[in-house]
Amino acid sequence: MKSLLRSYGRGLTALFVVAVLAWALVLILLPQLTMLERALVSPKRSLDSSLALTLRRDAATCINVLQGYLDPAPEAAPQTLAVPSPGGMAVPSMGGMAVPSMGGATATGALRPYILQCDRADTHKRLVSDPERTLYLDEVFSLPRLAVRETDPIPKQIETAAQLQTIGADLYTRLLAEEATRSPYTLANFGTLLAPRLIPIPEDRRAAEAASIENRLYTLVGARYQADGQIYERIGLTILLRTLAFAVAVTVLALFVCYPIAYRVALASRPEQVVWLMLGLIIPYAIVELMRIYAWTTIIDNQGVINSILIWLGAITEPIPFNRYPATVFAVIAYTYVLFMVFPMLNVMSTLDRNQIEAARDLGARTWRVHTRIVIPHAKPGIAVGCIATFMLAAGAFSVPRIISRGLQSEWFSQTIYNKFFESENSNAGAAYSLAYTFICFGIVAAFMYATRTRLKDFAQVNR
Amino acid sequence: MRGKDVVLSRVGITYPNGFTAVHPTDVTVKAGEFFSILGPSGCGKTTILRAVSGFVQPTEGRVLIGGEDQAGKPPNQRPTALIFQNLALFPLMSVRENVAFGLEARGMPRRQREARADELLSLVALADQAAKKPTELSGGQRQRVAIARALAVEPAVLLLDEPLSALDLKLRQHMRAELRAIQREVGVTFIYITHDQSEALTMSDRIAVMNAGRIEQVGTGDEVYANPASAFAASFVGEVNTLPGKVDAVADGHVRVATALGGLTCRNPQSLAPGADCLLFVRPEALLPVVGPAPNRIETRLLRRDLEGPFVSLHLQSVAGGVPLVMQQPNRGGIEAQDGMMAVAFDPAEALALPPGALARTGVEEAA
Amino acid sequence: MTGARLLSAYTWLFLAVMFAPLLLMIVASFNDISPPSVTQWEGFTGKWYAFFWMPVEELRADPVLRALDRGRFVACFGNSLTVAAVVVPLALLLGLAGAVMLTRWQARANGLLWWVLLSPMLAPGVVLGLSALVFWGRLGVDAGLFTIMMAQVTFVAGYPMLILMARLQRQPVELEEAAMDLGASPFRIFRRITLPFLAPALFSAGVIAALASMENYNTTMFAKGGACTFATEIGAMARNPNGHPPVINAVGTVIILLTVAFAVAHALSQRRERG
Repeated sequence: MKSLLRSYGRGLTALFVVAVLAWALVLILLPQLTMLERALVSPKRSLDSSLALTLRRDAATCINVLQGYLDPAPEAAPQTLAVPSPGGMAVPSMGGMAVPSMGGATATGALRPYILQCDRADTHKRLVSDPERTLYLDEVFSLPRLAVRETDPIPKQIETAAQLQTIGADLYTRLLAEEATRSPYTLANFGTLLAPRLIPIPEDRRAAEAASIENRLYTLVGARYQADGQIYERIGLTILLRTLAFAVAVTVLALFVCYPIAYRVALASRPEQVVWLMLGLIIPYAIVELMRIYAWTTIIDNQGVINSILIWLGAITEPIPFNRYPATVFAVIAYTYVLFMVFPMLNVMSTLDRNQIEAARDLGARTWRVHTRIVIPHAKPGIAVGCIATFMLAAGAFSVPRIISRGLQSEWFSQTIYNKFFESENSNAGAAYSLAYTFICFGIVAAFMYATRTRLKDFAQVNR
Repeated sequence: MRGKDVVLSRVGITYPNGFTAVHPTDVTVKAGEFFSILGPSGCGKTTILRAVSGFVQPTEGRVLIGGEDQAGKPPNQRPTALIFQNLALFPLMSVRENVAFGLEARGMPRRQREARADELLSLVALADQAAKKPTELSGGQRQRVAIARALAVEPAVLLLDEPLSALDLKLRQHMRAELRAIQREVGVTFIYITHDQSEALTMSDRIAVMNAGRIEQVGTGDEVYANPASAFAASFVGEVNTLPGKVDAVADGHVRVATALGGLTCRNPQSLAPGADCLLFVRPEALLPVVGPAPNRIETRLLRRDLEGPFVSLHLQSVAGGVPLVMQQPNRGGIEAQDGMMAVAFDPAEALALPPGALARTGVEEAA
Repeated sequence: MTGARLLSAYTWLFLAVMFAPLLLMIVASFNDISPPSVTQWEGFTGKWYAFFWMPVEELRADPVLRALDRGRFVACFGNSLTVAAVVVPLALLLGLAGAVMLTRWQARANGLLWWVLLSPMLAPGVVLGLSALVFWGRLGVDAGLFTIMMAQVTFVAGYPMLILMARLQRQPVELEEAAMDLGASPFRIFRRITLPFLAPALFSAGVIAALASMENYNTTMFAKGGACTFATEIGAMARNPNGHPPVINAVGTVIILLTVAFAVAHALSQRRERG
């Protein structure tokens, strides 16, 4: 701090310290901590207390609506019917999302029209706090099994509903007090990552499915198993593993593809040629990522270049649906991020004195030895940084699978995070997924850095 | 511009890692003096300079400039200007802006400071280069820009950290004279750091010889050369033959030393007592060829003759003891060895005995 | 000799693969068919470009173009400019501060600071967008342009930091010391010596930050809420089940040509500098 103050004075040093603190805390650490908090608490609506609250509210609404049918003017009912239940959208699995149908009574013997809230006013509700097991409210909290039956006379229905309202209210206050004293933190959100899901596969296709390498590997690591004659798969886990495996494969491919390029440009070209080669690399590198992805659609579409050529050659009659194949996403990800491997390598290689190569040749070293003893040791930090950059980009790829596959094939893990967070009932699980993924990726990178003796400072030296 | 005196009073500098760069030192540099600190690299001379300029805070003692204690004053508040070894000219500013920078920092209006910069540039004969960038100048010109830039802030003391080391020999010799002339003209105190003894000898009013964090001797060039105060000063300033021995007898300011070559007589400036270990120093030019008997006569074998232009260096080996010796003679011919044998001698007044101590690790004495 | 020739051939093949999709994209942008194709030539047209300025009646008459919302497209592009206008200066400030702290702050925690400041560049982009959304949502800020800016700055600032750090490390300490010795205050040294020295790096860092902000899709998608940017709008067109409209190819072509022009100009200016 002393040397900082001496070089920059009080005002500038304060500015720098404040800026770095703001960056580190407000932009990096606190958001991740918030994510952690979010990942560790159950979503409110999955708490048992909120289920009790819903029961109370549903019963109250039901009474309100039913009272309309006691009145001599039942036409007034439709307006009251439209009262949306506050819990109505919250637990879609419990019933339809729809506003009660106006078609009037449908079931035989029903003494009232269909009323969503009355139907839901039932103590036999499934708990959502534990998605793994099937538990019911009345059984867990030893409540009487009570429901508003549409076949009962309306006053009787109102009476039951009133009972349910009291039960709900009592349970709500009781559970709320309990939940307040209990720690709100749970690992359940992380647990969903490992939650198995039943995979319906017809008997005749099972053998073929089980034989695929992918599925065999999943079975090997326990991500896929058979129980009670059914196939289960831990979907979150398999997508995670699949994404990481693809990302590693992209990295390895990029490494082998790029090494000769980097060597050629950095060490085996005349200076005036380097300018143009660099240009050839920088232009595709600088073009907006999305555009480079879109550029591929012209090639892989049903009417794309490949299919058209194959059809014209008569090799196929129907276009190959490339966007259904994971290999396509793989290829486009490799294309999109391959240049992130080239530049770190190239930058470091170009600092190697070419005389060293000449000297090694002069001393009788063959090409192979020149590379393993001179070029690769020198370029190691660049190679490592390139690998890390490519891996992280591939692992975090979101645009490529989204644009190329158009939802026609298995997800990339970033898509899973997106769907969990924005399109599922439990966005907190999305937070857990995101956090878990960050740590897994960091772990892989840290292990790689440790193994290759890469220091973070290399990142600064590699990016000239 | 008026020079001020610089007083180092018990100044010692120890780095946080425990390394003592400068042991407590007392030095007084007189106002308007050209003062050199001469020593091998790593001896602490640059650290002293940085303590005077304010980049380093002494861990003990005081630095006084013009009688004023400089403790706690940052470099930008001291009446000193430093010329860096690599000059540190601002590459993105023109020569004129470089020279005017110190005045700009003092808030002088543009027109005034540029006029002043041009004045200084004509002082160093660069008036026509004012608009150029430092990189467009030659080494010597850059040197002069650095001097002008330092002088612009009218320092009382100019500190120079081996500024000539990057120049080639010819230019270096030329710049020595120029520096000396500028110093005479502006009258500012110069403290000049160098490891090159001929630089120190040619320019300085006084020289401090420094070794391993200690100043071993302060004196004029003649004093230091003729009467070195320590074994290190004797061996670092100029070439010298070093002969270890033991004091045999003392008489009348002279001493007789028993060496591997036999008994030799020389001056005894530090009054060594008989029986003491000592080193006998004799300069190469003090050795003369002799034919007849002479005091301090040494029989030698001629090993090699190196022609150095105006003089020749003769590499000899004593017959007794096989001690290597170097002598220098004007290149006038006539020095002939007889069958490779040669007798040499030196005047006792031109050699001296000093107590043993660290020697400079260069030149002749490595062989000794 | 054959080895060298093989390497050359490989290099040119690599470049060809890099450029081929881009060339196809350009060709398809002039083909009068949607979704874009190069194999089925329906005639040369400029209407995918003219989309941006053609009169409304003409727009309504076209079966493909009338499905597109031009106003929204332009508005989203405007959003991108707004976001970049905030993100770039902020990223330069944070990047500079980070670079200075990492190079000059001598403390044990320096290593930790390296990890923290570089972590956004190592994290999957989606995570940054999501955490910004959650964090600011917790503080009561709705997702929108603001959360996009915050999410982008988090990692975009890393580029200026790395670039400026490399430059700072090459700055000789003597320059600062010389200026200080001549009586300059730290602030003047920063303004007159350090900033001019950093200027070229600041410029290129600014360009890179602007590009990164404009093209960012992964992070933005997660932080955007109801807002849109150029990239998310382009990305949204992929969801069209019939394939994307060739307007995207037209935009892509413009981007490609601009990139080529800038890159060539840059290369030429560099060559001139070297003499």
